[in-house]
Amino acid sequence: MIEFRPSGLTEDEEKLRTEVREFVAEEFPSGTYLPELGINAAADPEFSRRLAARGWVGMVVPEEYGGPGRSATERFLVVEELLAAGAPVGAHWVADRQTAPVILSFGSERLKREFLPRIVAGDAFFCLGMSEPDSGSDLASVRTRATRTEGGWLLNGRKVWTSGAQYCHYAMTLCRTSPQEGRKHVGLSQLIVDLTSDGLTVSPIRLLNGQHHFNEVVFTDVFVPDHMVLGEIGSGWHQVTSELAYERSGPDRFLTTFPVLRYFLDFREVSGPEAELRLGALAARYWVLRNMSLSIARSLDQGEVPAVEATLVKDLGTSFEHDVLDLVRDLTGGEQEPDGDLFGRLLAEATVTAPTFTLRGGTNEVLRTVAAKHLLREKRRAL
Amino acid sequence: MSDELQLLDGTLRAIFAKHFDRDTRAATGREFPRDLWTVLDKAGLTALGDVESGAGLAELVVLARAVGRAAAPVPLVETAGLAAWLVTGAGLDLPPGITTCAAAHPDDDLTLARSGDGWTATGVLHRVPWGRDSDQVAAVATGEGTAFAVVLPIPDDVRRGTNLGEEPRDTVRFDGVALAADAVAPTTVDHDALRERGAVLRAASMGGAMESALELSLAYAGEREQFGQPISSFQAVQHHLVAIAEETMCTGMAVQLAVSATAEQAAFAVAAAKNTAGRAARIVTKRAHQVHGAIGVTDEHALPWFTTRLWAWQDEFGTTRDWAARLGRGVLADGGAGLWPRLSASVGGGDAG
Repeated sequence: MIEFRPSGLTEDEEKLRTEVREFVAEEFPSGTYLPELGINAAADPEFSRRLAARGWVGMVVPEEYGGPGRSATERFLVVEELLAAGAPVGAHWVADRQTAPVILSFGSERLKREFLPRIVAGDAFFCLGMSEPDSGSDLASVRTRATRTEGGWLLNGRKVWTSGAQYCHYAMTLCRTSPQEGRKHVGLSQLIVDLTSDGLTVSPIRLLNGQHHFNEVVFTDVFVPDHMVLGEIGSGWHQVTSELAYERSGPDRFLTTFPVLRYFLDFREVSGPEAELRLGALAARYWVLRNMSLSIARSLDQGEVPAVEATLVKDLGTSFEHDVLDLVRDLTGGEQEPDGDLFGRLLAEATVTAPTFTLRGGTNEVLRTVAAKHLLREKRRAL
Repeated sequence: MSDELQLLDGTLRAIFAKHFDRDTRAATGREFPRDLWTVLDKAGLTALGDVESGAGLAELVVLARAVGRAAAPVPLVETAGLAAWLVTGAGLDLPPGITTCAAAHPDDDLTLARSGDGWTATGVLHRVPWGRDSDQVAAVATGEGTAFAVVLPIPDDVRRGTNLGEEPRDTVRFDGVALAADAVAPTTVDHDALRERGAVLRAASMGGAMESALELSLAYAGEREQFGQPISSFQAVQHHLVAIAEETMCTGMAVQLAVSATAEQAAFAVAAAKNTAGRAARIVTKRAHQVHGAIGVTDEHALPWFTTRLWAWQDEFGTTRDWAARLGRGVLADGGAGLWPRLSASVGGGDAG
């Protein structure tokens, strides 16, 4: 039986949180700005660098690579404050959440020295070259391939849904480095691809509301030097799946719509028995999900890889993000006004981008199948 | 769980497995399982909540969870978790025999009047767990404007009732029952405090019952074959299993948070625990039965031991809706600026992990 343990905070952690909370209150006073919605957040490289100047980007990077050497829990505390306020975290998001930890885990000394200090400074932004036109949830079926050439690899193929490729510097790209024979999980590798490389084009795939978030990235004989291979050639699948523990469990998986709720309470009259009942149940769920997510950060700090727990929290959390919107809509009443006041605009944007919450990072259906197989396996083992 | 709590959990598991196995349960039928109670009593578990023993809410949550996991038809939570705590906390001794506890029912009304050196008690306690099988009931009574802890002998003529899990819930009346001065003591535990503690312990039992429903569902889905394969190979069934696991984990977490809550957080954490357990119970019961098909709704199967209790317990010590309303009033009082600090407040225990 999987069990989550509640976790309190140390004095130092409380102190860090107070600092972040003060910073956020100063940068984002309620009602003066249109909050961003979680990891759909716009990129604001200036903001990312202000955050970096405080030591709050790439926090888990140790001192020898230019970072503050903070824990996953400390990063959690910073990130949740930013997301709750709807901060524009888009630019540094992927580099901070998963590129820094995977370079630390699998990268060569050269990659660590080259990239980690720049991530920490807010000077190197990454996007994820994972999905392809024919490879979504079935990620191991990717067909983008790298073939050997002198001093490196020649990359050919196409990635889609690449969030932020229009402003990022690098794409962590999953590709096939040996032809598929038998098991498709074998022969995959991860390359760090410079997005300014020759033969590489980035073009927008616009969201249903016209926003430019996703891209298509096409590689035509893009040269990637040997030292830009992350980890071992052929170990891509193992590396990518361990990366998903970071990707799936964080506060970004239940806080996306929190700013909508916040603005709802701040700028609408809310009272009455229905509001009490529904907000009460909502508060209980936030409380439980946040503490589960925090307990996963603690496990990561203790060297555990709570992959299944992360999967379940992501399923619960992202489904809950939809519930929050349903509740706010019901209690708001009337027609939505996408060109109304800040709250109206925010609710409208959340409503039309909500489908992404339960798709990105692996659809919830696939996550449930993965989790079920784990639970059944454990049960068989116990019998 | 700490080593001590794990030891306690192991002891409880072993007792229920050995002294209340499937055959014993069948043979006992609807009778009170007195032999099981004797074992629990001899092991000191029925007085676990005695404030002198050093056992706190963490220990009693382990106990309540084990009761739920075993669907044990005994008032162990009421005696150890509520009566022992209420009575010894007020400086009284827990008498021998079975001492159940009033269930903080909203219609309960028990008053004390001075009579010579002692008191008389008058009033009614509703849906007292195992009232008919108990020797005494501990309760909170009001006398001269103050809350008192009392232990009252149970009269013979209780009005019998049950909950959906076929557990006795009896109405007990007292009409000027004389009490010695030393059977009554002022208490800081009022009706609401008793209800809160009961709510956490019921939520813990609900979490235990959900664990068993999950185990049964995983086992059944793995062995039952249809269309030439185990039904666990169907995604629709897999998704039921995952939802059951998720809600079971949420309940466990919510209960542990109530245990770890600081004094300032306690009211919120307790309400969140019982509300979470109640909502989870609906999902778990529905989906566990769906996984089991028709065999799950027969008395040949163990699943109903747990699901009927989950249906009952979600209403006891405050319904899911009662606790949601209480949480919601807090949210509205805090307003937008107060919500995030409330939700993200750190529970006690440093980085105990």
